[in-house]
Amino acid sequence: MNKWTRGGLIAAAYVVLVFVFQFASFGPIQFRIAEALTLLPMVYPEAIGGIYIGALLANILGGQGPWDIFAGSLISLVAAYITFRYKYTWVAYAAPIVLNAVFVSAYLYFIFEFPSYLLMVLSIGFGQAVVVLGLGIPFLRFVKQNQDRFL
Amino acid sequence: MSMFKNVTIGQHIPGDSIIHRLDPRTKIITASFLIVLLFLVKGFMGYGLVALGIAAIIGASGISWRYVLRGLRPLLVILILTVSLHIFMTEGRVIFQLWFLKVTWEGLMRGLMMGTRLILLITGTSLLTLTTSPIQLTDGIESLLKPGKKIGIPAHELAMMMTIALRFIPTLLEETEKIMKAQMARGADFQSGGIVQRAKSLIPLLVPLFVNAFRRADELAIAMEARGYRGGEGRSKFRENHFQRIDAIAFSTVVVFSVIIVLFF
Repeated sequence: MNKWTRGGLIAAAYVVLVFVFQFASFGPIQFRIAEALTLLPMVYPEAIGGIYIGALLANILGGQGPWDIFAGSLISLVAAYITFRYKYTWVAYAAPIVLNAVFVSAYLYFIFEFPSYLLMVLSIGFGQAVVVLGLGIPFLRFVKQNQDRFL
Repeated sequence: MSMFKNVTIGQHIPGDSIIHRLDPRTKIITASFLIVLLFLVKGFMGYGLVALGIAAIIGASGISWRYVLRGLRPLLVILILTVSLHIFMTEGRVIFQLWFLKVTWEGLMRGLMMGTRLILLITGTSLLTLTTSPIQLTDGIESLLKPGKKIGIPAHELAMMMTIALRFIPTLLEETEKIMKAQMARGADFQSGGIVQRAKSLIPLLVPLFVNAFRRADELAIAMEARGYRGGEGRSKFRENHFQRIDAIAFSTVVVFSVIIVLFF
């Protein structure tokens, strides 16, 4: 039972982080701090659903357009599943960075018809890498170390 | 005073109009229809007709134009950027030139088309969230996901997670504010350093927020079990969605309208 409520709370935390750091969370150049949570499925499988719902709600509430609601959230879901499936391998860490960089850029490129796809891949990939590696990894380390004590 | 008073979450405007009363499933499906339609339409005539359709829905919903147009604000920069890129970067018959910037007829047309499409996409789909409360939206998504149960999609549980998330967003927002203030009082610095350093500096925010969220989740699970919650099977609802005649009329109108536009414009 508590895995579903945990999923719900992870989703709420994701949305809160997106909105607290709203200025940096949307668009082609973004540092979505909430993406630090994307490594959580390695420790808590329920975080897969939580991240998906979180991304879905953040994108619905963010009002950035339908592509973010449908495609953006789906990419987060697939990335979270891969992180869970290949936990503690380099694939798990790369999934949220690479999938977002490649596919979010793809739909932004397709919809807005931006001149350079590669430039967008690099800019979104860079933002994701900073958050996932810079914040996500130390956060994951803390969660793993304190799993029995706090959670 | 709240640090996050400018954080706007959700855009739902309660009302009792015919659009508000439509089944959320009807609205979700027609909004998806609109997205596909806008990518199939290729001319200004078609866009004009879609705009008329959207205007009719706005009129019927009783929502002020100001609210609908406000939805464009977050995308204004990207909208201007996209349109100008098309206007200045497309090759073709030059109609105006200023130094290295040249405006071509083809570019102008393409820019205007793109701009119109984006504006219609945003206004059209924002009507879904403006006229449907998040709870209704969750209910709608749950029933639309129900067929997915056969392939293992936990529709009820996903909807429940969504409802829990919506309930706890304001609570966690308040808690985040408290944590940030408490950590800043202890000397935490969220602003200085390079990009990676700044990302790392958020650890003292993320950890207590997460521990708090998990504590609440466990308490909530105990409370729900104590009240006899045993999952979605055989559970009844306080408010149920019913597909009524008005939904059938709305749905078929949108389908016929879309087919005509795609075939003839």
